[in-house]
Amino acid sequence: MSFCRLDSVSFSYPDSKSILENFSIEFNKEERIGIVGRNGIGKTTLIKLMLGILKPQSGRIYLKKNDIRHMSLAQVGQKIGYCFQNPDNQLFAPTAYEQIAFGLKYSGFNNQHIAERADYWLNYFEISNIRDSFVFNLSRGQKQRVILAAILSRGTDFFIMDEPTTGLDIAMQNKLSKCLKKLADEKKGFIIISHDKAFIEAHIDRAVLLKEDGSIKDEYI
Amino acid sequence: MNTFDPRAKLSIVIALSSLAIIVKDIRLAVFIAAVSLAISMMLSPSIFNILVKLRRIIPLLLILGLSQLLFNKTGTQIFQYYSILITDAGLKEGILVILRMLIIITSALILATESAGSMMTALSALKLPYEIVFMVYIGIKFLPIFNDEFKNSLLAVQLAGADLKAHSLKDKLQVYVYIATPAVVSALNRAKKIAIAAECRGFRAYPHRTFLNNKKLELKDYIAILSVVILFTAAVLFNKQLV
Repeated sequence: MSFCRLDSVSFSYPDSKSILENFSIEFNKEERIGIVGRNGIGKTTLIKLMLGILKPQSGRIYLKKNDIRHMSLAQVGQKIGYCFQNPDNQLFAPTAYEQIAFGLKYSGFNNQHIAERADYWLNYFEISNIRDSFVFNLSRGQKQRVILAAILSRGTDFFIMDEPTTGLDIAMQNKLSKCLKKLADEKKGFIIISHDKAFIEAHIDRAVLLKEDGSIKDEYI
Repeated sequence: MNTFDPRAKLSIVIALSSLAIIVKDIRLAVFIAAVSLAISMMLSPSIFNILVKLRRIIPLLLILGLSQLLFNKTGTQIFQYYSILITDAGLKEGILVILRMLIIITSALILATESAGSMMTALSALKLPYEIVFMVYIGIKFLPIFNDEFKNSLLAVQLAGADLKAHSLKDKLQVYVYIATPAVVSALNRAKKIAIAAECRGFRAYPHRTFLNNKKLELKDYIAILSVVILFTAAVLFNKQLV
């Protein structure tokens, strides 16, 4: 069963050329997908359309057979964990702990589970020492780790990560790799957008290349 | 049509928004609102943009008008249903409030046709201290940044699973604090960075500064300013006679 389906979707930003034209694609729940392509080709736009952040000019988008137009962002967020391209745009709580706990609270966890899960992920990404620090003053890499911890802790069925390795050192990239392998073992799917060829090739079983002429190269590895 | 000097536009906006507060007669307010709308339409790239901008504030205007209508108990009663009392003075104030807001908003749209940089040069030409002008300029530049920050936080909060409509007032308040926090922090951080960048580029290093494009008032600008002075004086005198 397809997890997400884009059906003849067209989209363009105001006063710019069309980003996606009559675009159709399906993603399955257990797939590990890499979306690649040149800067500005529409990778992040495609993701934003899938999540209902952007509305297509024409065509339909379905998430688990539900038309995304009839879903709130919160409903989409409960099914998909989305890691923004820039962590500065995703951090809203003043501390790392609160950032993680917020999503857990709205995923229905009780206070005890929230504390346990949050502490586990803080430890996992080695950010326990900044648990109660003011997140907005952290380094890029630390912010990225807070966001990854917040997204992964919620345990949604599907994840989308836009440039997840940016700002991470090798040790942290390895930790993220381990995490993605665990997700695959748990039969959870994900989409990664990245320019890090080695990282992306190590984790995906399907590659979607967005081309300049608007076509795609979609192949299973 | 967007060729007036920013100082002429500023004069028009000051005159119209002052009249919005001064006028007490509905007919006069309607006339000024029509003038304001006509000038905005003349200067704005398209009429459609103005209408789209106005559409979002219609509920706010209606709430303002309605609260005057319901809570202003002075004047003669024209309708009563249980405790709801509508008076002629309340009705008049309700309509006037909506018209005043319309005048202020449409006249503000006149300023929106001018770029921040051009407005800064014009204010400097009015001999305003450059530090003040620069602060106004930076303030204007911050608005879209604030807007983006709010949008991003709102998205992040919702994608974390929080449905803003479905929770208690306490939870909603916490969510709104979360939405506002990044914008405030980002504004402070940006202000620091801009201050450093400005000083690195010699901001206030010399007592006087020059501009690449100096603003010069032309005949049409003088005519616009004179017309607005005549309109202002006539409206004030007419308003006195009507009240």
